[in-house]
Amino acid sequence: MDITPDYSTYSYQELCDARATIDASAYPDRAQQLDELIASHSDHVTSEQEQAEAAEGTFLRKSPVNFHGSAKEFFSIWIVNLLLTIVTLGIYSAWAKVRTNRYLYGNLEIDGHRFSYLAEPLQILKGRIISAILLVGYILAVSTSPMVGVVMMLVVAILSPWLICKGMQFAMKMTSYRNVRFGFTGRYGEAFLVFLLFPFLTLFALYLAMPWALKKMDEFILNNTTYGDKAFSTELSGGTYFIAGLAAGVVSMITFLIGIGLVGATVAFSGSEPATDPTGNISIMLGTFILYFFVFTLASAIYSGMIRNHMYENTRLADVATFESNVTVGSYIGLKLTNMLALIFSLGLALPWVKTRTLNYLAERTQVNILDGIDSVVASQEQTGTATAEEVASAFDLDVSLG
Amino acid sequence: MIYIGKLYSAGSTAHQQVELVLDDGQITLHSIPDRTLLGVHLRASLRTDSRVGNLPREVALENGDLLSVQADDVLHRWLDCKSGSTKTQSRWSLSSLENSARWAIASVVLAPLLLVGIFKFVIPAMAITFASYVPYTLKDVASRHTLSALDTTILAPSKLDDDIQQRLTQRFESVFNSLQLDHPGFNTQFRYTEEMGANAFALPNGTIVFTDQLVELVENDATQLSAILLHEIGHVNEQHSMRLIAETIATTMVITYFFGDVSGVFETFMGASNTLINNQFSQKLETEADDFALAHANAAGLTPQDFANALESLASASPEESDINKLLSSHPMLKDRIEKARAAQSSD
Repeated sequence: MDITPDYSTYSYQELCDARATIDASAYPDRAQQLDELIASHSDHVTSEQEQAEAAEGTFLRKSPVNFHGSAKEFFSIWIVNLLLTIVTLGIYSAWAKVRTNRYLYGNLEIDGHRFSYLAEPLQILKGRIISAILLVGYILAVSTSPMVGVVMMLVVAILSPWLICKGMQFAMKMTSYRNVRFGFTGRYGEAFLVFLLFPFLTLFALYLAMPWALKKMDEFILNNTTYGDKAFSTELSGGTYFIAGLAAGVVSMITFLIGIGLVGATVAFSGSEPATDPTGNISIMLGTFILYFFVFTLASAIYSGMIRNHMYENTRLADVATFESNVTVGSYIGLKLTNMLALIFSLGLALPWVKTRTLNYLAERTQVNILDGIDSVVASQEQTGTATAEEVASAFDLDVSLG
Repeated sequence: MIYIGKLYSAGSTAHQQVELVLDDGQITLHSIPDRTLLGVHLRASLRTDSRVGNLPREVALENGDLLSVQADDVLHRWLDCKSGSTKTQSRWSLSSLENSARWAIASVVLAPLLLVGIFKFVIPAMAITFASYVPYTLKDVASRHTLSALDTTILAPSKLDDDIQQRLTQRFESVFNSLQLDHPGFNTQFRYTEEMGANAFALPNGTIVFTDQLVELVENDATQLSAILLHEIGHVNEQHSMRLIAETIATTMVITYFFGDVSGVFETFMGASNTLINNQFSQKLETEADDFALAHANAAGLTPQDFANALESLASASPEESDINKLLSSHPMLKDRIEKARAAQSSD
């Protein structure tokens, strides 16, 4: 008996299996029938993909990111606000923060539209007063009793995921583009895993899993960020994080070893005996200190440059936009090192220049692909948060940033 | 006056180019290019934030729409003029301060000067006030906790002979008595430690701890140890622990809130300046404690020379110092302290 099987009832996977096992020289017509059916299936699959892509928005145009701020203008704003802050013993710092952010956000332009910073100084001031009271209480408790200190640190640690979420929520709510606000939907449970549990667990893997934990943090932040009724989504690759971590680690290790050798050689050549001559000890200390700054800057430039590119390429704002970043590690290292030197030699006065030039650099290397959903984003109606959590989070150094 | 701007609809990203005509108390909006009338808005109904730098002005209309327009001086003045009032507002505004070269230069000069003033005078004065309000019971609890935490970590029971401990304790008692201190809880303790070396420290409730290594370094010399005790009494008597805590808090807050907004660029830089500033505070307190010891030496049956000798013993056991220590150390340089003690001796 030789009955031709009814291939039309086969699934795509079954067809492929049958084609792989069939003896094509014995049954050429069956093999051909299978090939045709497989071909028709793959047509179907690609057209499904195309449909899905079409539903996610078609490409309209590529837009550069422009930063219009100037170092001179920003310096003047910054220094006058600093003076007013000092004269008012810090009260004015809330107004200073709002004006500084309004200047920086408002000068950032994509596709012909500017960003806006919407927070009110009084919101910030209220947050700052509460966070200052908590900070004072915390430092007092920690420095009067080590036992109370340990308890307080635990309390802060347990609260930190909540503070981070609330802080992000406020920061995003206060940012708008085209009259529509950003938002943040992250919740305590996941934040607890991402910011506390995972980093803690990497301890047992000797920090080797740290890149993976950092990837989880970035994914948490991006996947919970919204623009109006549209959500950002991203899927990052652990491999890239490991490579970036490895590159930063290896380069800084080599630099550190060379640096230590150089510092040692310099001291030896200057002819001083480190054990007896105090200037020898001091030059070693200073040399190591400078080396530490240098290596730290180098490592962070390598890591964040690589991660930024990866993150932008793999993030999508629903049918509104996709992103591209082409930061090169060499130029980014150059930028960060000159920033550090400028800050040190200007005793901090170069801060506005450093800020505007960094924004310029990053803007130049970023592109946004505008998709056709851009004109139909609708603002989501949610309550505006308060600044307290953000201020507390930043006072306790819990600020999170991407990359 | 005619301007071109963008009109963003409330609650969505939809927008259009508009032409904006400025009349005395109202603006009229027309769409571009077909010039349909979009609306007339009274100045009193508009909300706008103050001007910052050269940013386009954002004007919120009463229906929630947002108008963004690159303004010139006329439009800026029109928008900043308070609703309804006909006279133009005074020239004074934040953005005019921020754009003024005179204010910028004045700020570059004044801001650092005032900052130094805050760190040198305002914060120390506030710290003294703060310290005077801390009740003794709180200091006592804090001291007990601290000592027991140290005992379980880096301190171990003293290995000195009992009779040496007893002899020294008696001598210290006589120093306490001779000074007629109004502070209640003065007492001395001995501890063995690997980590701290030759050292003595005071807890805010009046407990003063000597390490075995210090006693051995001065070869059980009760006179030198008493001179060191005077220095530690100075710390307790002038509430140095509480003042240092207050100064640390204030420094952290000043750095966080004055410079935190533009951070992200320089956390390491901020950390380093925090340490440098706190070292200066600590050095100043050490100098005050030295002054206390020198001023009360005679009352305790000692001389400033005894204090100089004690410091010299310490110097013999520590590495030499150079000028950079002035920045990186929590204590003033030993050689300066010794010189000061000798000067006090010769002026006696």
